[in-house]
Amino acid sequence: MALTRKNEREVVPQYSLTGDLLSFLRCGLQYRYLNGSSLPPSRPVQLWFGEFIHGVMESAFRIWSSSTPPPAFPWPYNQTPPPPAEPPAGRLLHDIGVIGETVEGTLRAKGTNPRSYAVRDNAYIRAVRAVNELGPHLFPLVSVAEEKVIGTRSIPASPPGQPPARSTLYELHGIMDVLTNVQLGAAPTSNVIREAIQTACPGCSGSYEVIVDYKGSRRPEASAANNSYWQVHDWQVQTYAWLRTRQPHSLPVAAGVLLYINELAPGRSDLVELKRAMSAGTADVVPVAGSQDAYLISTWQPRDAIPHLSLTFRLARAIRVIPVTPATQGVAATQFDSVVSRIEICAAHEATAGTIMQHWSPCGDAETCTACDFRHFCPSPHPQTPGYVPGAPEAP
Amino acid sequence: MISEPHFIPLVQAAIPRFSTYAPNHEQQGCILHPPATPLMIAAGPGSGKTTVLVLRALRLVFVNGWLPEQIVLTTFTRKAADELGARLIDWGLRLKNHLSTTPPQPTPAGFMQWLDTIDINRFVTGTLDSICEELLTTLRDPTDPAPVLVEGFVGNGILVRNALFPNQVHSDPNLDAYLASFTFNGTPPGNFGEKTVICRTLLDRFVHDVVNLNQYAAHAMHQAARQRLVACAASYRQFMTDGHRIDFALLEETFLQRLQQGRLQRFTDNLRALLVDEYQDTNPLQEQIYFTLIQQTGRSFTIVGDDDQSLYRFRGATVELFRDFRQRFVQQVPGQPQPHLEYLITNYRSTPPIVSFFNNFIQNDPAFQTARVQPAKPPIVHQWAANPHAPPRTANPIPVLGMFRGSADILANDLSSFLADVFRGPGRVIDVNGQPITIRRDANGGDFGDAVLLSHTVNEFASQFGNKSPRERLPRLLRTRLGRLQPPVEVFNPRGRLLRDVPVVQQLLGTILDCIDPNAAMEGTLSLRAEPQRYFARWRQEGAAFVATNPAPSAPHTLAQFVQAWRSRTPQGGVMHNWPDDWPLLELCFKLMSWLPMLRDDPEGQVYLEAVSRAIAQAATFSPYRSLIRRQAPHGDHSVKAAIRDILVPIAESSVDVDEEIMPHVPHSRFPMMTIHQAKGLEFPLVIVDVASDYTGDYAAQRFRRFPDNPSSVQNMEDDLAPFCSIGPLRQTRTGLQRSFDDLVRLYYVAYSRPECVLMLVGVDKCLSQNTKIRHVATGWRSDGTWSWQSPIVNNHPLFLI
Repeated sequence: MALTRKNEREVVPQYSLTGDLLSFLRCGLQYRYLNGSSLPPSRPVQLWFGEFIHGVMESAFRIWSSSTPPPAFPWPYNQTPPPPAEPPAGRLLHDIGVIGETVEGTLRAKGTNPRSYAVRDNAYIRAVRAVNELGPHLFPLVSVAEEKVIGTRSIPASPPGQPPARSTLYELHGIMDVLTNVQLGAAPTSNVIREAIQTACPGCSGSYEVIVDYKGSRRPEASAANNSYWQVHDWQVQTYAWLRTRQPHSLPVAAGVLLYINELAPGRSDLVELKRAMSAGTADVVPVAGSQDAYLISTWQPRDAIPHLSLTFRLARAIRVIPVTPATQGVAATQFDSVVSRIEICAAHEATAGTIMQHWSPCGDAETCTACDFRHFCPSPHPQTPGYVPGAPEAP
Repeated sequence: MISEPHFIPLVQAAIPRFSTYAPNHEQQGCILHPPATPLMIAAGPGSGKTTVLVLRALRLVFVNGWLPEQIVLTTFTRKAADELGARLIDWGLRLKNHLSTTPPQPTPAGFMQWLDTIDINRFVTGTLDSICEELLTTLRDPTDPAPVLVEGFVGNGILVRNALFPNQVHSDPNLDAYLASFTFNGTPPGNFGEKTVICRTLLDRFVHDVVNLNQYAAHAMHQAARQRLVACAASYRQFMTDGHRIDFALLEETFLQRLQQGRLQRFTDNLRALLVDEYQDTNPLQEQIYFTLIQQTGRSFTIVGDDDQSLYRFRGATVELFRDFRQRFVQQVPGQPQPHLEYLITNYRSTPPIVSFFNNFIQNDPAFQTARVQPAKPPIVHQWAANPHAPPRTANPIPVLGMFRGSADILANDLSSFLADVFRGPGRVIDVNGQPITIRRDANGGDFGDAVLLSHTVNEFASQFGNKSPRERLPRLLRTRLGRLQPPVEVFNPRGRLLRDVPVVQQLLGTILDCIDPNAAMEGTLSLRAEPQRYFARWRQEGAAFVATNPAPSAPHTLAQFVQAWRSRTPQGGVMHNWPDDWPLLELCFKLMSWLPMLRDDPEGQVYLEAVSRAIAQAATFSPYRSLIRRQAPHGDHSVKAAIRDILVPIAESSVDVDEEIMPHVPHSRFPMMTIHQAKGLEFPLVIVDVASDYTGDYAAQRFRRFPDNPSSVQNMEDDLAPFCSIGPLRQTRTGLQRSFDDLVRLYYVAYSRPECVLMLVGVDKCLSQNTKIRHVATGWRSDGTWSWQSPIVNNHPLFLI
């Protein structure tokens, strides 16, 4: 009597657009450790900043939308000092210091802390600007906040000779804010987000939606390269749009707006990158020639204080509008299908061989590898030199 | 929408697995039962309860026209929830696609538009806890923080630091005397770790059993101890609330409160149907949540479960809530119709001999029968009996096998030889009534992963007494024997050894200790309990031995030089000239992976690494130095002490568990071992149940695992709390000892109903000898002391011995 084979569990694997697919594109091996095994990063600086900004903006919007009338901008900011000092007395509920303190408390309870007081101060500066500079334009436009979108797609068949995926389907998740033509039409023409959308999508008419996502990073340089941040962010928006259109009662998505929060209060490394991209011709938003902003940037050196760039310029850098059509959605979603297929093939190889490293390809860029906890034994860290053999790491 | 009579034909047309065989009569009764009448489904093992639950949910969408997001399905584990979700999506999409290409004729007006509104992904599925967490986060007030769920290790860390120590729990003889009823052997807790575990269980019970703490604290017996525990509960609760933290028990309690306050109206307004899987493992608080939801909404309610498979009493599960569901529902949710009861009794999993074996087993003890759903359930029938036309899953089904030997050592030899024959050789021939039958692997890639060893515990070593080396148990002996095969066969048994005992973890933690605390200088200043002291010494020894092997890579420097640099806090080369002010312990851990290939390249190694790194990362939530090692005095020393106290001591005291769920695939070539609890809901072609490899004599200390003399600590705790909670009297309709027996019967019933093709019981042969004194529920003993496998004739056991 032959035994049967053990049935594989029925699964429809779940993938998050930002948490899984973008991570895998950054580096396959790092993805395996961080997402596959849930290993926590040793220095979750970026994680803390991203979650802090999202948390503050989400809470600020909840307060704004639940109050009648909403608190007028600018909202006060009285930061909570480090212990043992007491928080300032008499702060209002919409004080950004109070909102930030609540968000920080939540992150602290999850074990995520800012690396230093400087990092924390910097995050507050950006949070204050995000609320007080973007909020007046963004909040009145939001129709649905923190909308969870889910869609099911087919996993492409594995190429010949490669193992099959666990399932023929996968589930894709994302979270977004949604704007509609109704709110956009009612907004004053001075609304910079409305203006940016109209400029990028002059043909928008009828009933439509615009989706919004925050990025706790600088605006990437424009690039057509497949794995560049610029391109991947575009695909993300397009795929979010596809997901949104899967939801019952949704309207066609005309555009996506990405908000690069670092640009509201650029730091030293942001300015270095901006200057480099400007000289390389890859910065898509640059100051008007001869303007005060152009002068400040061109004369700025890394040892100098951060210059006071104009609000107009900073908002222009922060807001990126990506036109969306069914065709562009289809192209982007197909790109992600192939990423899922690659992940599934890696997982299947690992399951067969019982080993990890040879099946998950390391492919990080300089920024990814520098901050990676697994760079010490990575067989191919940036710049991926042929014949590289990892040596012993140095103490500490 | 489609009409009800069209639903089953639609399922058959759209979902290939039903194209030949439609859901059976019992299943259809459950799927099509009118949603307005609450439905209780008593589902036997392998009877397709997930199928029924999924098709019932889909029927509510396609026949009743409810939207998936209005239908909530809860189950007991994340794994089961994933499976439920996967089937809903797969089958739901097939039904939807079929209807879009083949709509009913004539097609009703608006049919295609209606179909478009169905988003199959939007069923609300998960464990009750995950759904509560999600709703408390999304439906919170604008200025409320999102709750942060803390689990085991962190929760216990918080409990110790902010509740037990501040309330002097460590030095209270009254409390020790009280807690003695709840220890393994009836004596006061042997160490603080054990005391913490009992206090945690009691605090969770306070919430799950909805205990009236005022009455509990006022009770005369052990009053001082009770008052201290109530004070601990208050301190713990306060700290959790202040830090926006919530644990599983408080999560459910908070959810119920918000529900009662009407603060979850956006959820309740939308709800149309609630379907609950594994209801037999529901606790009283969860029952209140379900009943409140139905009371408030009047919506459709379906529960599925099997009282015979209730295993989680130790976590507060109360099987009586399932057994008496119909009466309780009527009493507590007035105005609702009397629930209807359906049975699923056709087994699609196992061969007829196996079905017959577990049927006999569950009916063996007359004293157990009154603990089951009444009126008495019909026995499980094999699918061939229910449907003679069903395809046989296996030809020549073989009887239930038994392998019993003179010692565990011999047993391990023979069992590994049997497995090698089946999975590496030509198969093992057994002679059944003169007819040879060969048990062999599936020709198309069958391997060791098609079998499993199940046991009450899969610990590889018995408890250590004094300085004697602990005894190797069957899982360990099997690991060794299988490792000697050519090529060696690896075992997957992440729960077989405590994290602290895994060799590669000992090497890692020993090296970490040597790096951060050379010569145990800081460790020596801490008042450590005996267990951490013993383990730290062992880890340091293992770490030093590992470093002495000079593992690769050894250039540009060796591991020994790396460790020395840490010991002296001298940076090695590079751009760093001074030792940094602080350094994450986690980064040291990850750097050491360079020398430990198992941790970076073996999926099982990742399970261990995840547990260690989780402990380090989560300690940052409550440890004063946030898992950083500082440089300057006095913080340098203090931070090392904090790391030892808050991270390494809990690992040494077994407070940190591995989570093997992070391993997406267990390689098919590895032989898995798991506890019977872990195997719940799973099925394997070949199941080996270790019923008696430990039992070489009638030792009193082992009886609780086979034939208890007294109620276990779990039942003692239930009885202690009974006067102060409404569930108490119901539980006490059976004595603590009866409940202990009941739990053993259920445990082995679950084990015996897992196999598809072959069930084999293994143990030491003394248990089967005619005059044995080793009584064991698993080998047919009844609680009254009679032995069905013995009388009326010698050797009446139902096993085919090999």
